[in-house]
Amino acid sequence: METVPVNYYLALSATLFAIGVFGFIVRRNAIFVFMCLEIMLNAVNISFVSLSQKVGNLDGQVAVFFVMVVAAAEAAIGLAIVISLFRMTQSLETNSASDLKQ
Amino acid sequence: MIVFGIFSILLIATALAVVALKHPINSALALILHLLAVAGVFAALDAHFLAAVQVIVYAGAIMVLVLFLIMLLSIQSPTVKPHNPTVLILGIAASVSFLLLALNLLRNSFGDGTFDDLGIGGGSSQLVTHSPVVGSVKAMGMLLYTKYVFTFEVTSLLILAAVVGAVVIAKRNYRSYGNSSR
Repeated sequence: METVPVNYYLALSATLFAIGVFGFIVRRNAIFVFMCLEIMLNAVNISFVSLSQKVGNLDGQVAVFFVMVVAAAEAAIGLAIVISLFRMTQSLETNSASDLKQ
Repeated sequence: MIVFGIFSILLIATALAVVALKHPINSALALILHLLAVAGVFAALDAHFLAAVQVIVYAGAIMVLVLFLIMLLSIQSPTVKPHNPTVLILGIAASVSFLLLALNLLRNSFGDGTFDDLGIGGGSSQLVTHSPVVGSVKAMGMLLYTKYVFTFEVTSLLILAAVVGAVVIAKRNYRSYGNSSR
C-alpha cells in the first residue's frame, strides 16, 4: 500500500478549514453557522490524526477523542440556543440575535 | 494515494456543498457525507477507534440532532436575500488569506515532510507511517484509562453540565416577547 506524505493531509485540513471559515463568515442562518463550525472542527481533527501518525504515538488521537466529546456537548448547547433564539425572534438570522437579555 | 485522492475530493466537494446549498436539509445531508468521508480518512490513517466514533457520534448522534432541529423548526427554503457584498468580500479575503498562510507555512517549514525543525518524526523518513501506530480500541482505551483518566472523568462532568444547560436553555419561556405560541 502506498503511503501518503503527511503534508498532503495537512494541506487538505487547511483547505477544509478555509472553506469552513468562509461559510462561517458569509452564511447568516444560525444552523449553517453551526455546520460550518463542525467542518472546521473536523479539519483540525484530520490534522491531529495525521500528525499523530507521523509522530508515532497515540496522544493526538486521544486529543481528537476529546474534541469529539466537546463537540457533542457544544452541539447540544448550541442547538438549544438556536431553539430559544427561534422562539424569541421567529427567525434564524444571526443578525437578529443582538439582544443579550430576553 | 488513490484512497486519499478519492476522500479528499469527496471532502472538499461536500464541504463546498454545505456552504453553498440553499436549503438546510440538503446542507445537512452533505455534511453527513462529509463526516463519513472524514471517518474514511481516519480509517486510512489507521485510527480505527476514531473512525468508529466519528460514524457513531458525529454522523449518527450530532447530525440526527441537527436534522431533528431543522425539521422541528420546519424551516422553509429561506427567502433568498442577496448577500451583503462587503461580508462576501471579507469572507473570501479571510479564508483565502488563511489558506495561503497555512499552505505557505507548510511549504516553508515542513517542505521536505521530515519535521526536523520540530525535533519529531525521526528525520529520515518522509512517509506518514514511519512507525506505524494503530489507534485500535485497545490501545486507545489503555491510554484513556491510564494517562488521561483525569481528563476523561472531567469530560463526564462537562457532558453532565451540557445536558443540564441544554434542558434549561430550551425549556425557558419567553413570554415577554409576546408571540410565544410555540
